[in-house]
Amino acid sequence: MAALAQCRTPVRRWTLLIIPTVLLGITLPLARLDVAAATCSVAAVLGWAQLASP
Amino acid sequence: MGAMTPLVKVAGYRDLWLRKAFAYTIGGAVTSASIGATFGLVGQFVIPDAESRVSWIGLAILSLIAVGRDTGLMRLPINGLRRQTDGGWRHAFGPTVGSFLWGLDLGLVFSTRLAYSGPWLVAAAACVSHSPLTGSAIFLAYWTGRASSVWVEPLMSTSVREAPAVLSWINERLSYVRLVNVAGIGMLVIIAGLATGGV
Repeated sequence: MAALAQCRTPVRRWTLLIIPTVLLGITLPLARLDVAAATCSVAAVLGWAQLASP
Repeated sequence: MGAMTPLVKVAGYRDLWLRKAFAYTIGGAVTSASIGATFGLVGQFVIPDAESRVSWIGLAILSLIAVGRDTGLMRLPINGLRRQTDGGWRHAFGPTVGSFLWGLDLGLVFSTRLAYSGPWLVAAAACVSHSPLTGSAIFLAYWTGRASSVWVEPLMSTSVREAPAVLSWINERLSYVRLVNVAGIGMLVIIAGLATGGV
Protein backbone atom coordinates (compact mmCIF):
# COMPACT_ATOMS: atom_id res chain seq x y z
CA MET A 1 0.00 0.00 0.00
CA ALA A 2 2.84 2.35 0.90
CA ALA A 3 4.59 1.49 -2.35
CA LEU A 4 1.41 2.28 -4.27
CA ALA A 5 1.14 5.67 -2.53
CA GLN A 6 4.80 6.38 -3.35
CA CYS A 7 4.12 5.49 -6.96
CA ARG A 8 1.08 7.78 -7.14
CA THR A 9 2.81 10.79 -5.63
CA PRO A 10 5.03 11.68 -8.65
CA VAL A 11 2.04 11.22 -10.96
CA ARG A 12 -0.02 13.59 -8.81
CA ARG A 13 2.81 16.09 -8.70
CA TRP A 14 2.98 16.25 -12.46
CA THR A 15 -0.65 17.44 -12.45
CA LEU A 16 0.57 20.97 -11.77
CA LEU A 17 2.99 20.86 -14.69
CA ILE A 18 0.45 19.35 -17.09
CA ILE A 19 -1.99 22.31 -16.81
CA PRO A 20 0.05 24.83 -18.87
CA THR A 21 1.06 22.18 -21.40
CA VAL A 22 -2.61 21.45 -22.13
CA LEU A 23 -3.36 25.18 -22.37
CA LEU A 24 -0.47 25.71 -24.79
CA GLY A 25 -1.73 22.77 -26.83
CA ILE A 26 -5.18 24.28 -27.32
CA THR A 27 -3.99 27.86 -27.90
CA LEU A 28 -3.03 27.60 -31.55
CA PRO A 29 -6.29 25.96 -32.75
CA LEU A 30 -8.15 28.48 -30.57
CA ALA A 31 -6.24 31.41 -32.13
CA ARG A 32 -7.62 30.47 -35.55
CA LEU A 33 -11.15 30.72 -34.16
CA ASP A 34 -10.93 33.58 -31.67
CA VAL A 35 -7.84 35.70 -31.02
CA ALA A 36 -9.17 37.06 -27.69
CA ALA A 37 -9.83 33.54 -26.33
CA ALA A 38 -6.34 32.42 -27.40
CA THR A 39 -4.83 35.49 -25.68
CA CYS A 40 -6.70 34.51 -22.50
CA SER A 41 -5.28 30.98 -22.78
CA VAL A 42 -1.72 32.35 -23.07
CA ALA A 43 -2.39 34.76 -20.18
CA ALA A 44 -3.34 31.77 -18.00
CA VAL A 45 -0.05 30.06 -18.93
CA LEU A 46 1.93 33.22 -18.09
CA GLY A 47 0.05 33.49 -14.79
CA TRP A 48 0.84 29.87 -14.00
CA ALA A 49 4.55 30.54 -14.71
CA GLN A 50 4.62 33.07 -11.86
CA LEU A 51 4.73 29.93 -9.74
CA ALA A 52 8.45 30.62 -9.89
CA SER A 53 7.97 33.92 -8.01
CA PRO A 54 10.33 34.29 -5.07
CA MET B 1 0.85 28.08 -1.93
CA GLY B 2 2.81 26.62 0.97
CA ALA B 3 1.04 28.85 3.48
CA MET B 4 -2.46 27.42 3.07
CA THR B 5 -2.10 24.03 1.42
CA PRO B 6 -1.03 21.95 4.45
CA LEU B 7 -4.42 22.70 6.06
CA VAL B 8 -6.32 20.55 3.59
CA LYS B 9 -4.38 17.49 4.76
CA VAL B 10 -5.19 18.00 8.43
CA ALA B 11 -8.38 16.32 9.67
CA GLY B 12 -11.07 18.92 10.41
CA TYR B 13 -9.31 21.73 8.59
CA ARG B 14 -10.64 21.09 5.09
CA ASP B 15 -13.38 23.73 5.48
CA LEU B 16 -10.86 26.32 6.65
CA TRP B 17 -8.62 25.55 3.69
CA LEU B 18 -11.60 25.86 1.31
CA ARG B 19 -12.56 29.24 2.81
CA LYS B 20 -8.99 30.47 2.53
CA ALA B 21 -8.55 29.24 -1.03
CA PHE B 22 -11.87 30.82 -2.10
CA ALA B 23 -11.08 34.09 -0.32
CA TYR B 24 -7.64 34.21 -1.95
CA THR B 25 -9.05 33.44 -5.41
CA ILE B 26 -11.93 35.92 -5.15
CA GLY B 27 -9.64 38.65 -3.78
CA GLY B 28 -7.22 38.23 -6.67
CA ALA B 29 -10.05 38.04 -9.21
CA VAL B 30 -11.47 41.38 -8.02
CA THR B 31 -8.20 43.29 -8.43
CA SER B 32 -7.08 41.44 -11.58
CA ALA B 33 -10.39 42.14 -13.33
CA SER B 34 -10.13 45.83 -12.35
CA ILE B 35 -6.52 46.14 -13.53
CA GLY B 36 -7.38 44.38 -16.81
CA ALA B 37 -10.38 46.65 -17.42
CA THR B 38 -8.15 49.68 -16.77
CA PHE B 39 -5.57 48.52 -19.31
CA GLY B 40 -8.34 47.79 -21.82
CA LEU B 41 -9.77 51.25 -21.27
CA VAL B 42 -6.33 52.86 -21.68
CA GLY B 43 -5.91 50.95 -24.96
CA GLN B 44 -9.34 52.10 -26.12
CA PHE B 45 -8.40 55.76 -25.63
CA VAL B 46 -4.69 55.71 -26.50
CA ILE B 47 -4.57 53.35 -29.49
CA PRO B 48 -6.61 54.59 -32.49
CA ASP B 49 -8.77 51.95 -34.24
CA ALA B 50 -6.79 52.46 -37.43
CA GLU B 51 -3.57 51.51 -35.62
CA SER B 52 -4.86 48.15 -34.38
CA ARG B 53 -2.54 46.24 -36.75
CA VAL B 54 0.45 48.33 -35.65
CA SER B 55 -0.37 47.67 -31.98
CA TRP B 56 -0.40 43.88 -32.56
CA ILE B 57 3.00 44.20 -34.29
CA GLY B 58 4.19 46.20 -31.25
CA LEU B 59 2.96 43.38 -28.97
CA ALA B 60 4.89 40.84 -31.06
CA ILE B 61 8.08 42.93 -30.78
CA LEU B 62 7.58 43.30 -27.00
CA SER B 63 7.09 39.53 -26.78
CA LEU B 64 10.36 38.87 -28.60
CA ILE B 65 12.16 41.24 -26.22
CA ALA B 66 10.54 39.37 -23.30
CA VAL B 67 11.81 36.04 -24.68
CA GLY B 68 15.33 37.55 -24.75
CA ARG B 69 14.91 38.79 -21.19
CA ASP B 70 13.39 35.61 -19.71
CA THR B 71 15.96 33.32 -21.33
CA GLY B 72 18.78 35.44 -19.92
CA LEU B 73 19.99 36.72 -23.30
CA MET B 74 19.12 40.32 -22.32
CA ARG B 75 19.29 42.06 -18.98
CA LEU B 76 16.20 44.19 -18.42
CA PRO B 77 14.99 45.32 -14.98
CA ILE B 78 11.29 44.48 -15.33
CA ASN B 79 10.59 42.67 -12.10
CA GLY B 80 7.96 45.06 -10.73
CA LEU B 81 8.11 46.24 -7.13
CA ARG B 82 10.67 44.58 -4.88
CA ARG B 83 8.19 43.45 -2.26
CA GLN B 84 6.11 40.41 -1.39
CA THR B 85 2.72 39.97 0.24
CA ASP B 86 2.60 40.68 3.96
CA GLY B 87 2.60 37.40 5.88
CA GLY B 88 1.44 39.30 8.97
CA TRP B 89 -2.05 39.85 7.52
CA ARG B 90 -2.98 36.28 8.43
CA HIS B 91 -2.26 37.01 12.10
CA ALA B 92 -3.72 40.54 12.07
CA PHE B 93 -7.01 39.80 10.27
CA GLY B 94 -7.51 36.05 10.66
CA PRO B 95 -6.99 33.28 8.09
CA THR B 96 -9.91 34.03 5.74
CA VAL B 97 -9.65 37.83 5.60
CA GLY B 98 -5.84 37.52 5.52
CA SER B 99 -6.08 35.21 2.49
CA PHE B 100 -8.53 37.60 0.82
CA LEU B 101 -6.09 40.51 1.32
CA TRP B 102 -3.25 38.31 0.09
CA GLY B 103 -5.28 37.62 -3.07
CA LEU B 104 -6.17 41.31 -3.46
CA ASP B 105 -2.47 42.19 -3.31
CA LEU B 106 -1.27 39.50 -5.73
CA GLY B 107 -4.20 40.23 -8.06
CA LEU B 108 -2.81 43.73 -8.51
CA VAL B 109 -0.07 41.87 -10.41
CA PHE B 110 2.53 44.64 -10.38
CA SER B 111 2.50 45.34 -6.64
CA THR B 112 4.82 42.40 -5.88
CA ARG B 113 8.02 41.08 -7.35
CA LEU B 114 7.59 39.18 -10.63
CA ALA B 115 9.53 36.13 -11.73
CA TYR B 116 9.12 36.68 -15.47
CA SER B 117 8.08 39.44 -17.84
CA GLY B 118 4.78 37.74 -18.75
CA PRO B 119 2.56 40.15 -16.76
CA TRP B 120 3.84 43.10 -18.80
CA LEU B 121 2.83 41.30 -21.98
CA VAL B 122 -0.57 40.51 -20.47
CA ALA B 123 -0.96 44.23 -19.77
CA ALA B 124 0.11 45.07 -23.33
CA ALA B 125 -2.34 42.48 -24.72
CA ALA B 126 -5.16 44.00 -22.63
CA CYS B 127 -4.30 47.44 -24.10
CA VAL B 128 -4.19 46.02 -27.63
CA SER B 129 -7.60 44.38 -27.08
CA HIS B 130 -9.13 47.90 -27.15
CA SER B 131 -11.83 46.78 -24.76
CA PRO B 132 -12.21 46.97 -20.95
CA LEU B 133 -14.24 43.74 -21.04
CA THR B 134 -11.62 41.79 -23.00
CA GLY B 135 -8.82 43.35 -20.93
CA SER B 136 -10.62 42.22 -17.81
CA ALA B 137 -11.06 38.68 -19.22
CA ILE B 138 -7.35 38.50 -20.13
CA PHE B 139 -6.30 39.48 -16.60
CA LEU B 140 -8.87 37.11 -15.04
CA ALA B 141 -7.34 34.30 -17.14
CA TYR B 142 -3.90 35.37 -15.92
CA TRP B 143 -5.13 35.24 -12.33
CA THR B 144 -6.78 31.84 -12.88
CA GLY B 145 -3.41 30.50 -14.02
CA ARG B 146 -1.68 32.06 -11.07
CA ALA B 147 -4.21 30.81 -8.49
CA SER B 148 -4.37 27.31 -10.02
CA SER B 149 -1.33 26.17 -8.06
CA VAL B 150 -3.17 26.74 -4.77
CA TRP B 151 -6.07 24.53 -5.92
CA VAL B 152 -3.95 21.81 -7.49
CA GLU B 153 -1.25 21.51 -4.84
CA PRO B 154 -3.36 19.44 -2.40
CA LEU B 155 -3.55 16.75 -5.10
CA MET B 156 0.21 16.61 -5.15
CA SER B 157 0.83 15.45 -1.61
CA THR B 158 -0.67 12.69 0.48
CA SER B 159 0.02 14.19 3.90
CA VAL B 160 0.75 17.50 5.59
CA ARG B 161 4.35 16.38 6.14
CA GLU B 162 4.83 16.16 2.40
CA ALA B 163 4.00 19.85 1.69
CA PRO B 164 7.59 21.17 2.06
CA ALA B 165 8.82 18.32 -0.16
CA VAL B 166 6.31 19.33 -2.84
CA LEU B 167 7.58 22.92 -2.78
CA SER B 168 11.17 21.63 -3.11
CA TRP B 169 10.05 19.37 -5.95
CA ILE B 170 8.60 22.40 -7.78
CA ASN B 171 11.74 24.46 -7.14
CA GLU B 172 13.82 21.69 -8.70
CA ARG B 173 11.72 22.01 -11.86
CA LEU B 174 11.97 25.73 -12.42
CA SER B 175 13.74 25.13 -15.75
CA TYR B 176 10.50 23.51 -16.96
CA VAL B 177 8.51 26.50 -15.67
CA ARG B 178 10.91 28.83 -17.56
CA LEU B 179 10.48 26.74 -20.73
CA VAL B 180 6.67 26.88 -20.49
CA ASN B 181 6.84 30.64 -19.86
CA VAL B 182 8.95 31.19 -22.99
CA ALA B 183 6.67 28.87 -25.01
CA GLY B 184 3.68 30.95 -23.83
CA ILE B 185 5.35 34.17 -24.93
CA GLY B 186 6.24 32.56 -28.28
CA MET B 187 2.58 31.66 -28.67
CA LEU B 188 1.70 35.31 -28.14
CA VAL B 189 3.95 36.21 -31.10
CA ILE B 190 2.01 33.70 -33.24
CA ILE B 191 -1.33 35.11 -32.03
CA ALA B 192 -0.14 38.63 -32.92
CA GLY B 193 0.85 37.30 -36.35
CA LEU B 194 -2.61 35.78 -36.83
CA ALA B 195 -4.30 38.99 -35.66
CA THR B 196 -2.40 41.04 -38.23
CA GLY B 197 -2.98 38.45 -40.95
CA GLY B 198 0.76 37.84 -41.18
CA VAL B 199 0.69 34.13 -40.25
